[in-house]
Amino acid sequence: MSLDSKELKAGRVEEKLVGSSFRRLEDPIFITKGATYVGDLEFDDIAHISFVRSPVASAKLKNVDVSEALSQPGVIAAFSAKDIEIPPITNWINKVIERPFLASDKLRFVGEAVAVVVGETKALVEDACEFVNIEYELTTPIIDPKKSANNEVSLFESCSTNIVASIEGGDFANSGEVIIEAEFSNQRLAPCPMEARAVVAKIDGEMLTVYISNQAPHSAKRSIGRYLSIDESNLRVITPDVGGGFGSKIGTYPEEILIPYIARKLNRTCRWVETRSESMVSLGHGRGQIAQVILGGDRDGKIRSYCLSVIQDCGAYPEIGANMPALTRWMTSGCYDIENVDFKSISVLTNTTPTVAYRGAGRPEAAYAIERAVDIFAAKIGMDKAEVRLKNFIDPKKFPYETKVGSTYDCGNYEESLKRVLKLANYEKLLAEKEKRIKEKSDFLLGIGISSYVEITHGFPAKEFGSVELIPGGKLSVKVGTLSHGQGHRSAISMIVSDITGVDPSNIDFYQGDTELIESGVGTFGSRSMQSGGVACKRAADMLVAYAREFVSKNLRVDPSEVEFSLREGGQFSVGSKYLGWSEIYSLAKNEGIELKASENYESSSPTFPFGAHLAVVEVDVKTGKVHLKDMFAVDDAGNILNPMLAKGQIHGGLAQGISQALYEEFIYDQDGNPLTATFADYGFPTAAEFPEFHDELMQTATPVNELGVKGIGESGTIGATPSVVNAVVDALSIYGITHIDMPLSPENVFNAITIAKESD
Amino acid sequence: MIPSSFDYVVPQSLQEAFSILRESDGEGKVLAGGHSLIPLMKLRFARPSILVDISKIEGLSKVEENDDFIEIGAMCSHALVAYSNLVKENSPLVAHVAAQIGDAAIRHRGTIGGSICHGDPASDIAGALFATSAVLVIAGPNGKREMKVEDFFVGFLETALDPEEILIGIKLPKKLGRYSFEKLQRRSIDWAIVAVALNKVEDTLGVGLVNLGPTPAGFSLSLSRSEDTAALLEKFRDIAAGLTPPSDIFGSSQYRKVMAEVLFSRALSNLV
Ligand SMILES: Cc1cc2nc3c(=O)[nH]c(=O)nc-3n(C[C@H](O)[C@H](O)[C@H](O)COP(=O)(O)OP(=O)(O)OC[C@H]3O[C@@H](n4cnc5c(N)ncnc54)[C@H](O)[C@@H]3O)c2cc1C
Repeated sequence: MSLDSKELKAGRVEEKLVGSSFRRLEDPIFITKGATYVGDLEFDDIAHISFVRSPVASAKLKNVDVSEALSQPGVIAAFSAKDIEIPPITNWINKVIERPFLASDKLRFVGEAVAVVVGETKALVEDACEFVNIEYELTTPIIDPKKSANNEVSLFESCSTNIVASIEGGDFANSGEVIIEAEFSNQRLAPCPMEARAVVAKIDGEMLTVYISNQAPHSAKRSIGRYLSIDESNLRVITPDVGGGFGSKIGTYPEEILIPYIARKLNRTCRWVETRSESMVSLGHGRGQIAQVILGGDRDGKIRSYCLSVIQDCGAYPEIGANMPALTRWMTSGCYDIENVDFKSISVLTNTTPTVAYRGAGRPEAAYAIERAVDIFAAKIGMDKAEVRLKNFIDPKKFPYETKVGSTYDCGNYEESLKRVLKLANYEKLLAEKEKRIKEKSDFLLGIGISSYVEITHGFPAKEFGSVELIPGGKLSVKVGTLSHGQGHRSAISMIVSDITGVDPSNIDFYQGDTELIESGVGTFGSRSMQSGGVACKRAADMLVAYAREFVSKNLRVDPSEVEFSLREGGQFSVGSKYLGWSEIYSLAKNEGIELKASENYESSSPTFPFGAHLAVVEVDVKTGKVHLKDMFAVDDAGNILNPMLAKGQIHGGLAQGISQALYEEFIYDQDGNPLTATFADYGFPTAAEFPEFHDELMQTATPVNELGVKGIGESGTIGATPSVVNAVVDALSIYGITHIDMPLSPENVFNAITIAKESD
Repeated sequence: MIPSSFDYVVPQSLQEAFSILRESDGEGKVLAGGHSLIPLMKLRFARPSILVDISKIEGLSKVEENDDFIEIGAMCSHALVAYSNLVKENSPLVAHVAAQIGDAAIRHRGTIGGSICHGDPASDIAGALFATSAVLVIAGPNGKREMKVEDFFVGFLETALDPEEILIGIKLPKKLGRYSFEKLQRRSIDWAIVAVALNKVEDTLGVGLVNLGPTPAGFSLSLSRSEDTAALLEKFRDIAAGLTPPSDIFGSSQYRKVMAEVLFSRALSNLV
């Protein structure tokens, strides 16, 4: 990949920054000084917190005794459920089920917080945790979501069923000459952000400041304020640099509310920095969906009907994971024009870590189901997989297109993205190479996997805040309610604002993640930021130029229409031969006591639907089952691209995560609910060495939904990559009659599939 | 993720190390690269009262040449072993295997001595030592002793070392032949699901087995001239039938057995 990075000249370049691979403004400090995470913040006289967690998946909790821990060196305080005086958490998904801040009568998953120890150093606190005595009586855990759905045992007494959410199907009948049925599992994953969770709660008299590693500081503030009954004016939430989240840091966890609770109780600043082992079992997990599909189609390749039924594993408490099927549903029929479509789902409890949103959140599951099903259908009717797809794509002229499940796709050209990826990969040549290896009876079969995806971003349009203010020296202060946690928003938004105002990005101060500085905000998730906060900042910048023009016209006593504005010299207003720059305007306005500031709460009218096509080339060692990903091709369209380098960064990371789900990652429990993959030695988190160089192209079909023409790019890579890799492996093994292998495609899983196929031959 | 508290000392001589170990009453542990020991401590599976860092003891971090063998100091990192010309020229299998352990960071920190003394059946280098008939040099308060590699591993994570003993070197015969190493792994930094090392010198085939039982293992086959690949495979199959590889999330015991054969056969045809 070549990056045509543009260096800014002093002053202002005439050409627009948007659309260029402008280098990230975030990086110099990351590279030199390093980021500042919650764990790096320095405070005087801080106390350290650790949690004692449930060692078992299911038990009656009889007693928690912290007295011995209290007498350990350096210990300040220790708490169990009975010491916590705040009501349990209920959530909107199922109001009957309460989640206590610390386990009170039952232990429901390995990793559930049971007690808290506070002390002078983290090491002493960890030592003292070993002296908390938990007395419990084991009960039979339910780990398998299908078993849970039987409702033979209710996991909550307050709730007669383990099914905490469901979506009913509609009128549906299969149609088509050929009907295929299959079950696919989307295994449970651990999000593994580089920075695990961390919270500091700082006490200043009445004022509580919470530093937290989170994707949505304003909603963290609301949660903390609500549960701790703290007046909004006495609470400030700050997110310093956030080292990744992938959806797992959208919500506010019980632990994160307990830290400020304890700080207030002890009247002392407290910090909790989660360890990796802790994070693996108590940060929310992703995916955990079983899909049953029935696809009907004709022998000419036309798909006639498609029904997707989903069982979502929620884990021990219904968190946002319980609602993932709603997102899956939106994307049921993928890129295809199918006359008869149906979706239904149930979300069930198990004795495992609760599931949450994880990069893609519900859409990878949908794309995986239909893209696998289409491949099985193509194989069944003996038609090339690309050809079947081309036969069924939604006609580009039909946009906006309303699907049978009620999503309205804004715009797209699925045909073109597929054709482009086939060309990029040299599909014909790959097919020939594949045949050659089969003829040679090679141990290393080639597989080519295609996936065409469409997904939904900014799925829940909500108002987002952006403001631009002129500050001393003619600089700008830009504030936004979204929260970059690695994406590079400072760069992208500065580029947008700079293009409008002419102010060099180095003269733009960028603020996010502080509820005191930013009046309101929703945060960053669901690939929403540029199409919400980005547009808000664009509008605010436009308004600022308009206000300044008005100010200049008043100041020079001319009609506003006579005031010209140009991007030259860092942004310049002129009337005849008289020129005013931002700095002079600031001084003049200040003298008159005028603040030049514009803010916008922008609410977009609807979600957007990025799309693309991925093609994976794998080599499968049929003697061992080991899969080697040889090549990865991606053509992605997320509307207008503000900065190709940033966009590609998002795609590359997404591809890596999507590939990794296909090949390596799986959070595994044994039948007693003990996690078997709770460290990085066991959990298949990938390294750079696992990936080939990615060949990618950006396609740009501007969305009519917003004036920037942008969709979200944060999750696409993950969504398209997974099915393409699995399709490739199945393609390689199709000579054995294999039609599906569940992920991850580990050597043994693949080997077993081959062995079984050969035996039944 | 945070170990329980422990003391840490850096002795300058073997004698000093021995006396610290003796005083610790079996609670002390030698620290080499720390890449196996520290993770166990962080999980609190190991709780030594004192760590005896042997990195500053003279002579443990170099490779020396003698008449008919080379001796690798126990504190040589995997990277040093992989890059050492002496090792590459005299025992190329060992250098080749060292280069495939973990990733670059692990190879620069982990040591050959630590890899052996930990007694992990998945140690790649232990497999290479079986294939090359290595001899281990062990020092203790009462002097030095030598031991064939096949006598060293006693049980899962258990070796013939006394608590006060320190492995100081590994002697490798200077015998050149053909060799190969086949390692099946999930991610590039993972331990082997199974690996097989071969070292063919004259009419002896040294075989090292990684992760195919409770300890690293190996054997040698004498190759009578008439013997062809099929017969060798047959012999290997007989031996493999008696192996008891572990079952874990990376592979079942049965899968590992089958893979042993696949890798052995590949290693045979890939001898260089
Ligand atoms: C992520 C990761 C991946 C890895 N991948 C592989 C792999 O693919 N293949 C592989 O073979 N290994 C792998 N390893 C292990 C690596 O090779 C370690 O270096 C090795 O297991 C231990 O060596 P060490 O020097 O770190 O020993 P330490 O951890 O310091 O010590 C290990 C044990 O040996 C004892 N000990 C150490 N030196 C001596 C001595 N001279 N005398 C007496 N006792 C001693 C210690 O007391 C301790 O009990 C991996 C490790 C990690 C962390």
